[in-house]
Amino acid sequence: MSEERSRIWEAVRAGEKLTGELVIDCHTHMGPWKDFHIPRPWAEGMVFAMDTCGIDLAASAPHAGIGPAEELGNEQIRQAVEDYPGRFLGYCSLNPHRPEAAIRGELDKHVLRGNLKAIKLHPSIHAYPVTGERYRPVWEFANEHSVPVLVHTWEGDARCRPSLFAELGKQYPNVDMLLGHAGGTCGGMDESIEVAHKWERLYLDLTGSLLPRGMLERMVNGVGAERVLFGTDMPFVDGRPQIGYVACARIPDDSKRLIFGLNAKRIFRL
Amino acid sequence: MSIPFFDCNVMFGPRSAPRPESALSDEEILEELARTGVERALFVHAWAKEYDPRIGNEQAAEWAAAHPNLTPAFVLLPEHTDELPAGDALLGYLAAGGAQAVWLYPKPHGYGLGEAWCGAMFGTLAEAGVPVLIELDQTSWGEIDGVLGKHPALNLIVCRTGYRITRWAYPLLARHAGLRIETSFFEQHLGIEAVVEKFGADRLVFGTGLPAYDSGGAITPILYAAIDDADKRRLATGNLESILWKGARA
Repeated sequence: MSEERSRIWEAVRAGEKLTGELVIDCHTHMGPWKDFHIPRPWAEGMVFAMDTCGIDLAASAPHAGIGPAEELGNEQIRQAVEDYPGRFLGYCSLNPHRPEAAIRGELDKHVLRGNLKAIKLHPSIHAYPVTGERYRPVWEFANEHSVPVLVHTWEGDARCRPSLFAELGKQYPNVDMLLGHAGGTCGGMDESIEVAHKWERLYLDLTGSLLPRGMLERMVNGVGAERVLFGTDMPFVDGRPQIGYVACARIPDDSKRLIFGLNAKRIFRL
Repeated sequence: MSIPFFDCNVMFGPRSAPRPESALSDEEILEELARTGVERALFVHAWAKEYDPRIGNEQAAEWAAAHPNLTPAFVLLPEHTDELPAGDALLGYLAAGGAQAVWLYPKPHGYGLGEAWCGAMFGTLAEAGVPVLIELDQTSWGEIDGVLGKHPALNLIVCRTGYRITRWAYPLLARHAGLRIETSFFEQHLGIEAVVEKFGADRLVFGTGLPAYDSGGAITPILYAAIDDADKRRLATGNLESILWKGARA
């Protein structure tokens, strides 16, 4: 842990936006969701919220896509990337229950020929294991084209627990795999740290509404700040608490800069 | 912009099973409050929740007496088992310890919030103006509606609500003027702005959950909220100050 003075925290505590720091949110969504109300959930409201605190760019997979309507979700983010230049990076969301031709069609349309730069998988909502055969065309595509993949992970979920990703990573060595929520719970974060030691292209995404005290520092100390990514889940939740978690963390400011944006810039080749 | 913060949700004292990262000593909690710029805190002692309210409250009173920036909140039980006093004696007990608010933990302490258990206690607290804090996982929105329907003068701060609450909470915020939401975990996208616009700036109260949770993530949603600075100060400090029981100072 660092006891040095943090200029980033001092600026944030003074209410200043993170102007001058690169802030890339590696994990956002877009639009409404079924079980609770989200004010201003579309791209306009997200950009408004990003501008209140200084988030430059949001990597986004609309809720439609991680739910039952991946074609709709992919179209929504395609449009947002077009409408808000430089503010969104698009994930192509895929549903393993669709025919393989449909999955390949979405990847071809949006990643090879479109404006989406990465892939999002949600094995929990789609109730299908990330290692399952139906995801194989996705992993093969990502590996062939070196496309980053963000996957929802959660401790204890047999479909997407962090420990699954060591073998998966070695199987598809050209893919940067972002462990969404870093396993979700304290136990999941510990599991994410452990698995990250087994394969170098695994990254821990801080996204989550619950980040107990000390877990961010634990991840940084466990895998290095180069492998930890700022993410918020916005607009599923407010993105602004995550700014505070990172800014006030007991780590050096240079580590915060890697987490806030420099790592994502490298992974997404921006 | 310098916004002072008054945290309504801090716990001092040794807990039964803290994770190592959050197992702070009382001195370390004080240092953390100072480091993150939280000037004041309303707190409970862990023993009052996890062992015995009376013994924990004694610890809280002693700790607060030595630290003027700390205000104790006593953990209460309903009076039926004679473990804690009732009526005027309860108010005297709070005043003697300097307590300006109370916390309830009905699940680990084994009672309900209905009139059979808490009616008399809520009546005393409402009449005197003592605010009550409770975590959402200790109760339900239906139960909260019942309590505030019976005791409309009661100030009730619901803590650690999460971001999925507004379909449940909005009708109750409209019906019950005494209902307030603590801000840690109220992480709804643009939710602070929405509540302030719909219900005014006096219904949200800053809290962190320290030491289990860091202060930074609770501070920034208020600092960055698209509301005016006067409203930010209400959320950060003023709303809690305005409802704390003043009887302890009398």
